[in-house]
Amino acid sequence: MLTVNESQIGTATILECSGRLDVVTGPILDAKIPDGGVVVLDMAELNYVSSAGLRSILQALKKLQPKGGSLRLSSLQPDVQRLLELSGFLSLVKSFPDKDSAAKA
Amino acid sequence: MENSFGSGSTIQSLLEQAYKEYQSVDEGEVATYIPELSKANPDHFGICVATVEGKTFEIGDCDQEFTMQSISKILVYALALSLHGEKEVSLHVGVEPSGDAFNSIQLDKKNRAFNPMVNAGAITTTAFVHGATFESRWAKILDTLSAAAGRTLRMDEKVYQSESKTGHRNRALTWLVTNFNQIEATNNLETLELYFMQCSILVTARDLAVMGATLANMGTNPFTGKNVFDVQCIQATLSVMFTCGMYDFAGEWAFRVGIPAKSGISGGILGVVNRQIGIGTFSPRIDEKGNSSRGIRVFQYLSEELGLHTFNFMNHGSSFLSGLSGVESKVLTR
Repeated sequence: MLTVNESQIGTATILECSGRLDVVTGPILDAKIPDGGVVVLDMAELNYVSSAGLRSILQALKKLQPKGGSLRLSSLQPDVQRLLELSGFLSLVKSFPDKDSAAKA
Repeated sequence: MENSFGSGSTIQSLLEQAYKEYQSVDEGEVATYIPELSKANPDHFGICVATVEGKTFEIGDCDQEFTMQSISKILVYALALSLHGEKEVSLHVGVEPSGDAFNSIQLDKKNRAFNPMVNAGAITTTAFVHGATFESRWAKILDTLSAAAGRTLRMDEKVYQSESKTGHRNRALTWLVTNFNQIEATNNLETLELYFMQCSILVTARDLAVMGATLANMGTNPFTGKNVFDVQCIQATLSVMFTCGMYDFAGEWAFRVGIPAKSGISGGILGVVNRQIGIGTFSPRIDEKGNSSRGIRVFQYLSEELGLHTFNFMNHGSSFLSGLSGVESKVLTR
């Protein structure tokens, strides 16, 4: 299961993801990505990301960037952080300690 | 909510998820063209992953033995390449996907079998296992496959007899490749018997995973440390698996799963993620192309979730190139 709660910090859209992001739940996140602006995926409550889930994040980035928007990750759980570091994913997407610093970066 | 990360528990929980999800799939039928195979229990289902670090993860019927059938072709091809080298073997069997069924009676323009995965090519490949006697040739095959599995394997005598008694089409293929001097006429029927025997070797889903891990681990069994295949033959073997391993579903498989694999009509699939893992699945219900219906689904699921596809966006291509020039994608970083 994946739930995505939407809120705002300043002009940034915060999407708080909770549960699992995988091949089944990826489309739920895809549908929540706006057309532009700064989007922060807050992953404090996200305890599993699969390769298919990472693809959803990459798709979101590619959707936002051409229109001057950006995608940032925040509050990664240690295991998720480790996975994203070792797999080289963090060379594609920026990560921040919390949603506030991500929104204001 | 419980944290499911950490590589081991993640793989195990994915296997459990796949098992639960696809256990109810009852599409396809147990193979009947070899009479003895039709006695298989259609409900058997096992999935195993073996890593190059020498760990296994498994669920379901991973102790259930079944005959290797066409999966043996890939290991005997690796053996033939290890013994004689790619140049010599390629003179007699091609590496071109035929798009035809596995038992196709057709040769390429050089009068070779199209590839080592169609029956004519597999029989040609088995002919490369030389020896003073029939027994010594058989020992070489059985010992090599046992070393790849990390345990002593044996043959199912009944299945072998059943294959030998009814395999007239394979007999015809043997004479066809003999006619074009691809195999020796003096012992061609002996070679055919060896082929029937290699197809009748009993394995489990776990054995397939370990064999896959041996191929993934540059030809050395990661559990026993024994060198089984020449490192040079691994790239060639995996290439043939990638292009020809899934009968006339090979293109679709490359598209959807994207890893080298070989299936057998008894319901097994052996997959390899180079330098990382071997995957073995067993479920005897096969589709009209001869591939395990549940097996295909399991592989597709694991490929998606673990990013196994050769062309997955997370896969970096040549590690050598990265080492050489530090080439990394910075295109998307802002």
